[in-house]
Amino acid sequence: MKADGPRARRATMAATDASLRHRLNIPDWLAWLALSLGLLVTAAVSTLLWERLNVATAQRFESEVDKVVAQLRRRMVAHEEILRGAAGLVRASREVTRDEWRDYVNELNLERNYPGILGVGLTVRVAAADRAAHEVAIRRQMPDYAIQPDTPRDEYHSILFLDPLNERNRRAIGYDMNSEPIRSAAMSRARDSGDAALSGRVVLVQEGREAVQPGFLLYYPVYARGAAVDTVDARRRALIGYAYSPYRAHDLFGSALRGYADHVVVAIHDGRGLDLSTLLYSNAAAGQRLSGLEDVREIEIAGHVWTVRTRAPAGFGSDHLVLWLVPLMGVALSAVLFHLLRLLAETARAHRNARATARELTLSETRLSAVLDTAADGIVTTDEGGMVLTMNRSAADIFDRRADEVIGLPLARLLPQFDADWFAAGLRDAHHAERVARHESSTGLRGGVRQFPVTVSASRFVHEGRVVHTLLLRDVSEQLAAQTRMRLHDRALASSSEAVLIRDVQRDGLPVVYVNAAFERMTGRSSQEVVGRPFSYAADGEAADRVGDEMRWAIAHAKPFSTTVEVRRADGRSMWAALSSSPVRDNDGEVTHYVDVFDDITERVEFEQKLIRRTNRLHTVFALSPDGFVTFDGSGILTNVNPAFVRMTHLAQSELLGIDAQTFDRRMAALSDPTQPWPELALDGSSEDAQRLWLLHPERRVLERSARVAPQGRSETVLYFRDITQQFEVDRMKSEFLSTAAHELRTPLSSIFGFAELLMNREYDEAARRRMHGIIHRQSRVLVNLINDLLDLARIEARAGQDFRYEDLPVKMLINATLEGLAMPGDTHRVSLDMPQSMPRIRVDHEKMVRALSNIITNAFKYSPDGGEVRLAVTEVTRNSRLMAGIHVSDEGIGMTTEQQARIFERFYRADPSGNIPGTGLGMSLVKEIMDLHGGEIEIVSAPGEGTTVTLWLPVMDTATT
Amino acid sequence: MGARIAVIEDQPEIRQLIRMTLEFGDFELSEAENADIGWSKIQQHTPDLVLLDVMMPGSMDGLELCRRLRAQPSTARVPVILLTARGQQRDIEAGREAGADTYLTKPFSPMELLDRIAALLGGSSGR
Repeated sequence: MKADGPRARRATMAATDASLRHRLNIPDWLAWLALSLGLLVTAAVSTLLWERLNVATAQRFESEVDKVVAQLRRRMVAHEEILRGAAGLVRASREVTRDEWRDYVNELNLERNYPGILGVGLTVRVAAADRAAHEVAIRRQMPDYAIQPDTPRDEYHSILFLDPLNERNRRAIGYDMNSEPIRSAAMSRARDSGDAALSGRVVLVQEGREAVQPGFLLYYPVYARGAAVDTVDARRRALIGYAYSPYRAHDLFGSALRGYADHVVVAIHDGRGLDLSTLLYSNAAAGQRLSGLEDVREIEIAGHVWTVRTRAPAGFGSDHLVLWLVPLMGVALSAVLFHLLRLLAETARAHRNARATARELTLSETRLSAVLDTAADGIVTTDEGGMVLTMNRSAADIFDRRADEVIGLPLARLLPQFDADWFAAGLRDAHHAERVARHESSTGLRGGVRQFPVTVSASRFVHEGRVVHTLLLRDVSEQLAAQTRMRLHDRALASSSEAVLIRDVQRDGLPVVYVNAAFERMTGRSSQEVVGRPFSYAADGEAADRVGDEMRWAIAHAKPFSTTVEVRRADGRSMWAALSSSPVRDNDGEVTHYVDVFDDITERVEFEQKLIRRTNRLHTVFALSPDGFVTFDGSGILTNVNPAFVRMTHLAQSELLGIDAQTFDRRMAALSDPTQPWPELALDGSSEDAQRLWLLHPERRVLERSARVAPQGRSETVLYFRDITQQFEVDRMKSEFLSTAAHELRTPLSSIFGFAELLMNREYDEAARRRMHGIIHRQSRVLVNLINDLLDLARIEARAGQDFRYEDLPVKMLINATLEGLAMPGDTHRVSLDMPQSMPRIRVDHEKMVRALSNIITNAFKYSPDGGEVRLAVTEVTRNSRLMAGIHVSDEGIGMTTEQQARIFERFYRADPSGNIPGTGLGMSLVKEIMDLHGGEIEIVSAPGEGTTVTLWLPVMDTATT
Repeated sequence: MGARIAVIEDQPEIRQLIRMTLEFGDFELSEAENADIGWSKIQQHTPDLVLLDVMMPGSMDGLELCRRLRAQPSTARVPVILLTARGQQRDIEAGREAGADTYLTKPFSPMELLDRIAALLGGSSGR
């Protein structure tokens, strides 16, 4: 409603004008007549007023004077009454006491009711003869009492009482006023007249030395009780004293005239005339200016005359200002009237001219206002200089300014581009009566500050000689913003790395209406190929149905959905897409489109599949690994145990799963060899270096444990157990082998070395020399055999039987060859043989099998330190559906424990760890190697202290008799 | 009467070598093929010197026998020569700790053996 204020006012004025036109029809001359008459009347009235005012002032002055005089009289009469009352008091009583007098005066309350009166006193008439007695009598009450002045006279009139008895009045007590002529004259007059008498101007005895005022006194005669007072003589005789009052003139008149002489200057002189020496009182202020008005009158009070002079101060009756005001106002009013009439006359004339079109104009203007204000576009009119004339509501809204703020201001304040220059340029082309210019992109100022884009259409027209510009404005901020948004959305869609497809779900078949560049790139299908047709992602029938069903269901329920689908590309390859599809609704909430967004996740899917395969492989490795694996999760709970670990420890998987690392470590420690240190398990990564665990249970083992904390993920820990028993034992046995071998080698060497030295240093006879050479030779052979043994084993191990020379031969031949090889000069050992009649034939490498058998027999002797029979027997038995020849070697020696039997074939293992039984520890290893390579078996039956039977089982080729 | 020497050695070839080495000196030999036998023989006749092999089969090895000799007052001061096939420092120290006076590593020099015996008995070597 901001914009319609002025317009509404204009409309109202138009209406008023219209009604005036009917009532007034004022001619021009009327104004002039009104002016003349006005001035004339003003002059007359002013003159009259002048005269009237002067008379009034005089009358008022007179009244002021009367007021003053009347007040003076009233006050003095009141004072007379006081004295009359006092005289009455004295006359009524036989003798008035000092207290009675005081009470009377006090009751009068002089100070409040009669200001200016100094007191009320009583004098007594004392004859000269009575003076001394009188003074004595009075001094009884007042010790300093004395009649003054102390000059002899016929009679004395001493002041006896004077109340209020203040310090000033006390001075007067005893004073004889009759001794002073002015007072005496008044006293005599009072005495003779029997009435109050006012004295002339005196200085009161009460006056001090400062601020001396003129004063006067009022007397009232007191006559003796019952005395006749009808003649002067009688009164003179009857007089006994006076009631009197002394007055200070300024105090008295000042108070008496307060409120009565405020507007005039009053002077009161004693007696007749205006001599300064007789002045009793004046209220004139120093330097006061006076007007000419003056009144002098004589008044008589208590038989005495005062002259009262009253003057008017300057400015008395100051109403003369009105005198000037009246003509001025008159002239002014006349002039106003004149102009008003002229204006009315002119307006009436103008309205007469406009009368024919006025009504239509009003109507049209109202209509136009309505139209302008409801227009969506801003409409602004300016004059030719660019000053805003009108502005509609939309324009006000656009600029966020009230129309009345802006009207009259340059348009450039709102549209900087439309400055004075722009309008001036328009003016140069003024020969175009009407011209429309369109400015697509101008800038407006909203609220005077913020810039916004606006489209302006400007036209100018000339109306009644005046150029008027009309500007049509449209705020295009939102339009531009929307365009920008659309462009950005398009760009975002086009440059998105995810594929986008939009389908119209209100048309049959849900045809595609849009695909973006990423879609084309991923699927290899162009926009032209896809848009306008239905589109199905899935390659094959089954998947197509599944995805299609999901999509149809989602669309039917207007729900979003997402899935993973294998999409067939244009080139026939397929790709995996993570698809999410969501509905788009119009303003009514109706679903119009579905937007599919998908990403190529082929790599991810393939990676996942690869990961699954890899995990499976890992699981297999885990399960098949000969090494033990135990895993703990981040909170130290055992999550997995592989079969190898279970085999190593015989701890059941079901017992282990779910226990914590500490419990696990305790279980493990319980299996350990207490003589060895137990490295405690820590899952903090400090156990990464392999640590050795010596187990006794379920059997003697050495494990190597290492812990690896997975650096990523949930800090899972993997414990890795490697059974290094064999490796550890091999190490140990190798070291043992070296010392054993050294021992074995040094024994024959000692003989060779020792006998050779003896032969070199001493002379021996021939027999002794031959014997010693024999020893040297034999020991050298032992040495060679030992070395051959080692080399044989090494070779057999290395070549795994590839160089074996197999031949069929009867067992007996093998046994004979072996026993011959073992036989040594002087050897006391004997083998008792138990041979069957029918000897089986076996297929063997002769040399190797002789070695094996001789090792067995040697062992039988070696481990029978206390002697005992060594028997050799041959049997033929079917074992595991194979016919086998068994060569049994039994001794009665120290025997073996079960544990020793279990380890007998381990290389370098020796059943006698003390080393007292010589041997390389290779013998049985060699036997095992050889038997394995022949497809044979070794059977051992033994008990500690009871001896051992070793059987070599070899496959039988056929049976023949020898 | 010559010095009485106890020879405790399991290898007959070595016993024969020792026997022939000492045959020209003024010695009386008492041979044993293991420590147990040697120990019982020493109990019967306290020797003037013991020649002792370290590695021998049986319940007792040479070191153990040596310790027993030292622990027994009658034999505590009898000189002991160890014959060892193990020449490493570790073995030598083990022998000293067991109380042996000296040692010889196999193969040993017969002449040196004579010198050692002479030195321990305070007499001529008898080479």
